[in-house]
Amino acid sequence: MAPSDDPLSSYLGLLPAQAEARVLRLLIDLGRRVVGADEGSLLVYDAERRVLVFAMTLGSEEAEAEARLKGQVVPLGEGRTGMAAEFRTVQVGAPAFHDIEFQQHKERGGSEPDIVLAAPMIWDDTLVGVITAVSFDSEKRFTQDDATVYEEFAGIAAFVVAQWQRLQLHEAASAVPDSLPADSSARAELELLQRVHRLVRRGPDTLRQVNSLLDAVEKMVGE
Amino acid sequence: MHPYAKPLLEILERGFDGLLKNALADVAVAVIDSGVDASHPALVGRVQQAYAIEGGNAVSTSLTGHNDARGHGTAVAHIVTQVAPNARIVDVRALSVDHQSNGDELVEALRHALTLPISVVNMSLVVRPKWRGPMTELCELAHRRNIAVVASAQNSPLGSRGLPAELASVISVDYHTMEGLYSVLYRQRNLVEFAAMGQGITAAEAGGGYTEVTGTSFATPVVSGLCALLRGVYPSLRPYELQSILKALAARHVES
Repeated sequence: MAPSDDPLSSYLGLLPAQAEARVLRLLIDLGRRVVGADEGSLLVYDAERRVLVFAMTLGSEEAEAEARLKGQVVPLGEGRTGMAAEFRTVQVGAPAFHDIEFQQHKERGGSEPDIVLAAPMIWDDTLVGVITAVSFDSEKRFTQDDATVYEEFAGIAAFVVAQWQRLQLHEAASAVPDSLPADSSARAELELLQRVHRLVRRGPDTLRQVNSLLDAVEKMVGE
Repeated sequence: MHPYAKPLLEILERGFDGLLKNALADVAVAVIDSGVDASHPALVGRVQQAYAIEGGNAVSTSLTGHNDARGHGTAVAHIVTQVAPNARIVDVRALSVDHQSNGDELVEALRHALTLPISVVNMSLVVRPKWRGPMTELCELAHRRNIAVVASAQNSPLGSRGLPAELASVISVDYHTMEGLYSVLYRQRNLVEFAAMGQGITAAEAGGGYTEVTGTSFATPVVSGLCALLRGVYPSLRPYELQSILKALAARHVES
């Protein structure tokens, strides 16, 4: 997968080596260790397609698992993971049919995850993604306390992402000078930039909408 | 004597499970969810009406078939019937099979449920804040129509408790370690006032069999079931009276 196709990079603007990305990895790993899961994953929310995209996976056979899952999508409402995003509540239980973890493992002839825990990452009432923990041990059960702890990790992960996005916006705002030039064309250009900046500050949904609009404008101008 | 003093005194004496010894009238509980597998042995004959929200409208679906593509609503409905043997399920599927649903369907599902002769609405889900206006209006309407709306809290430790749970007209539920299904916890000065058992509940799995479920989603139908049980004995109880009785009967009161 090319770096530009990395879900963390394409959806959140985070490069794998950045501190925020490393903090997210740390959180997922800590979370899955605390609840005793074999694997922990972070999926980012694509509001336009209404899907969750696997962005990182940690735990047993980490590199293989991450390579296998990264970029895979889970539609909202599908399995425990999709339900956590759709209903915005933590979901715990034996994997429902069509869980991507279930399918992937079955295809590889591996053991099926016996239990899945999925907690939505929500910040300021905006869905950012979902973090999951899975176990392949048939005796393993996630408790209510595990679910509560994982929800808390999900909240912190959402906060990290939100702060990163705020920082980006702040930096973008700093790049636009407060005093506008006298030249009418340059002035119009800066006013437009500031307008876009005000719009994207409304949240990730608006940011994606503005992005789509700019894509359409670029295509139109190109033609 | 206050209208709810009699049930309160009786229940205080006998506990929730004591109500099971009474003659229980049928109580219709709308389950707004992913649908219900009415063919599951645990639910055969328990689903009295079934709808799906499609294209913004409610359409009737099979009363005996498998109407749950996601496996969530079936478990929720089964928990309601485990707690309240008198509960009759009204299945309102708000999630489409093609995953194209959005908050509009959830609002429409509640709107439709409120046109039906139901007593309790179970919403084991959280609606996005964009729909705060219509959700508030509909929950107020439910309150005026004497329909108890029971909803799951959103467990975002750094954010809001979610809609419709945080509305005053709604009985809101979180999960907690409790002993059995006939027990609730009351949280003093908390927007989400109740918590019920939400761990390791054995529930019907859509398509057959059973599974163990954990989460706020599954604590909510416990409280819906308790409301159905109370109304099965005392049909005239208003939603605020149900809340008062739940509070009075809570196994524990905690500050949070």
